[in-house]
Amino acid sequence: MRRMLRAWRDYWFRDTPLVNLAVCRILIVAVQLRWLVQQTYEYSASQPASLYNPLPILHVLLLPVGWNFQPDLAFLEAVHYMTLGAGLLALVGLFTNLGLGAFAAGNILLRAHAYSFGNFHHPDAPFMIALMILALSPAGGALSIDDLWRRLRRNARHVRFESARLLERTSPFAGWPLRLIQWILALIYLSAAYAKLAEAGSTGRTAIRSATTWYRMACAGAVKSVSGSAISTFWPKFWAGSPCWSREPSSSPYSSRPSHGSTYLPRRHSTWASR
Amino acid sequence: MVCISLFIAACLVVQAVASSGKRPGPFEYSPYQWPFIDYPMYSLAHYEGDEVSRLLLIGIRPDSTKIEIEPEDLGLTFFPYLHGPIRAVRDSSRSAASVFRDIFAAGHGVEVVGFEVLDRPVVITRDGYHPGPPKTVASLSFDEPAASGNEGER
Repeated sequence: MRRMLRAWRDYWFRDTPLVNLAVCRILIVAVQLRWLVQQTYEYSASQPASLYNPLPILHVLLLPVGWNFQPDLAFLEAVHYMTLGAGLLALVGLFTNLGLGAFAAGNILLRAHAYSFGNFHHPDAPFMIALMILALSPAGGALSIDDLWRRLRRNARHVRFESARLLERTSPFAGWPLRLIQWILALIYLSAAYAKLAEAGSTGRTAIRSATTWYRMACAGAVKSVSGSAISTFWPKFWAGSPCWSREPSSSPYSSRPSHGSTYLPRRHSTWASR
Repeated sequence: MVCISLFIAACLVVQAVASSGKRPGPFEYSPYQWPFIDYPMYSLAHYEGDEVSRLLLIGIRPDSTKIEIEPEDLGLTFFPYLHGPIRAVRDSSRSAASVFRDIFAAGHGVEVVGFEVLDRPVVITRDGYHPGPPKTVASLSFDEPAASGNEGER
């Protein structure tokens, strides 16, 4: 038992550079902010009440205003602007954890509301989970105003200037968020392969081919989209193209490219952590 | 460290359950655990000769003529169209269907006294897909008295 606990601790809580987590924070928040600024809520706010079938997490988030409260347009827009503000705080790393928590909650509320009318899409869910996890992590421990302020105060106290030494600053709590995001993504992709195997019918060869094709597409998506998450956020032209494996037009920031590409960072993290 | 370990374990368990695609208890569709999701996208295989359903809502006017009602006629997109009016007619839920009757009347000035759900399938062949024989899969009239036990509410 003790060995298992030690193995658990060594896996999840080994020292990891804080800068890894900070880079992920900036990229994930930037991608999410870019999506958020494009959102409008007229469509979901105008849906008939009979279609409103709130997701459980929406009930929970709306609990302070009532279990069965149905947000109207003004409410959604107020949440939108508060979430934008929280996202900017999270991006620059000012009151980082508070900002990340509010940003995660606001985004989850807005998406969960949009998905409470029988319409449901997959790609943004991993972003929501990643934001929740980052909110509980020392994501503001580097590349943030919080960290800059902390170091300035320390320098002033010691009357001595110390450089940032980004890669040398590690924490046992900086690795678990990225490993957990990595595991969540792996389980989601496992679900895709399992569904292929389970639902492809009795022709085993077709089923296995489908599953392995999907797996290859997932891996290719992650590798090819190394720059997808980051670059396409700042380069709108990227959004115009369709992902190479998808027949769907890629008109949304949540096209397969950035969401599959988002797997790259946590996967890459293993390499970073070993440096 | 203990709290974070519990959080990690909880996340992994919830995601593993979601990935399994199991839907316990009263939950009838996948995203009840959202944002923890399964990902069975496009996993259903179709083979040569299979019919793929394409459902369309048909409005029945008082003079018994029929009018096709597309999702955009009701201000809906594809999935809300399936989960809203199409499901209401298939479940014989007049109260749910009447919402869409009113929306259509307000938007188009056309009164309907009933709905049908028409399936216009396509058949998969080696040469591509071809239209299959259309068939009515459900109908609902607002004039007839409700059959007992058939007024299913969602």
